[in-house]
Amino acid sequence: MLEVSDFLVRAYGIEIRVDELVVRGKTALLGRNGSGKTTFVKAVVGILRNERGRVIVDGVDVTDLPTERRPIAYLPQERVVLPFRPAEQLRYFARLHGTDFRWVVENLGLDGLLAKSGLSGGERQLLNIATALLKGPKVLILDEPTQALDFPNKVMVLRTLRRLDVPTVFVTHDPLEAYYLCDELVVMESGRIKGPVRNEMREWAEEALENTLKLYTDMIGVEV
Amino acid sequence: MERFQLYVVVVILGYFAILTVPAVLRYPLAFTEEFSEALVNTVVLSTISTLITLPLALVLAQGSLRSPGRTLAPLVTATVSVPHTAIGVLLAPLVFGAGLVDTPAAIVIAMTIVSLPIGFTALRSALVSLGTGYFEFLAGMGVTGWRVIPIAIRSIRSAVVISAILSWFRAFSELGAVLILARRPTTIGVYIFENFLAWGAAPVVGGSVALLALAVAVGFLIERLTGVARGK
Repeated sequence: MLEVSDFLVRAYGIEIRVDELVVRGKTALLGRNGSGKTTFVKAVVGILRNERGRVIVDGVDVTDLPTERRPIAYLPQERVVLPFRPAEQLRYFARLHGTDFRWVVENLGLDGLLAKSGLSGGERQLLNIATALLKGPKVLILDEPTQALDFPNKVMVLRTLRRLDVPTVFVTHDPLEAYYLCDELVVMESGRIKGPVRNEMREWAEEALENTLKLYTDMIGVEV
Repeated sequence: MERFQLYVVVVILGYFAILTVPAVLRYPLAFTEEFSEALVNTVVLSTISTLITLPLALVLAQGSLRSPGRTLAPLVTATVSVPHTAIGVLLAPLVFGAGLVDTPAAIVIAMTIVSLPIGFTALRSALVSLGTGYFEFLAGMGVTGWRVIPIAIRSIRSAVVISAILSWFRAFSELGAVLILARRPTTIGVYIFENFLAWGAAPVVGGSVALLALAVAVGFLIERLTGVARGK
């Protein structure tokens, strides 16, 4: 569980004030461009310094820990392409964290990915999510992980994320994705968080997503 | 060919012709044994200098992406805009004091000081182009400081090669600082300078053209490595 309280961060010309955010399952952090979503999560991860407030993970205060020592895995907004083949990347980070990468591959169903060399945008994101999980995080923070992905790739990533059982902050400005994936939704506007509200649109989102995907399958033969 | 492209071709060829044609037409393309010796000296010392410059440039470039290294980065690149005779003068107390005047070590010191900003700039630009997310992801995964470097090197392989080539050539072509610190063993720049003063252009035009031809070949190689020539 992630708890952020009495939080203040000033960066990139914006001031973020969050009285309280508690993440137990999957929480969507929605908001318009420039509302402060990325600045907020970067401060929670420890990349930016908060001026006030605490970040608590499973009851442990991690506010003063550097990014690398926080039990939080973070996937930034930018497309990250590490210079490894898929299996090599997982092996490298598994060794770094003294773990085995096979459980991640099995849990996320990534067997087909390991032997590939040229990954699609969606496959690249799945590989990075799998890599992030090797840290054994207690919280996962994903900053617009489906940004710039085409629809089938987006669905592939979202379906995989639904299988994860790690408290997750999912930053997005796409309500459909938020409805499909998350249990709760919060909205950030001008550095302030509103919410949370329970997601009661999941069935609608599932139907909308699957129907759209069916269109792809029928019209251009794309299978996800 | 469009008119604009024709214009570009004419300017480039004209630039090169001004540099080479009058000299080649007027003087013989002769080479001396001393030229070859100076060339070998310069190749060896430039290579030693590059072996020092490259790892230094990598560490500094990596460190310059965040404060306080980011704030201090202009200290590394400042020497580019100073006449290299001034660099020689500034290094003189150190070199003279250590008894290194007219030694290979003095030449390597001069070459390293002047080529470091070139290697640093090439690597820094490449690292910046990876994006902040690249380093944030690695930091989140527990890869920070020195441990980032081997991964980043793999991501910017062609930039590392280019940085090494540019640093090597910058060291190879250094004259100003070397002239003040060490005229012996003779490097190629000093050889051309001294022979020109003593005999005029005739004995050194051949060597100068050969050096230019080498530089052109490397220029095309760098274009190929960076993908500019292929429109990337």
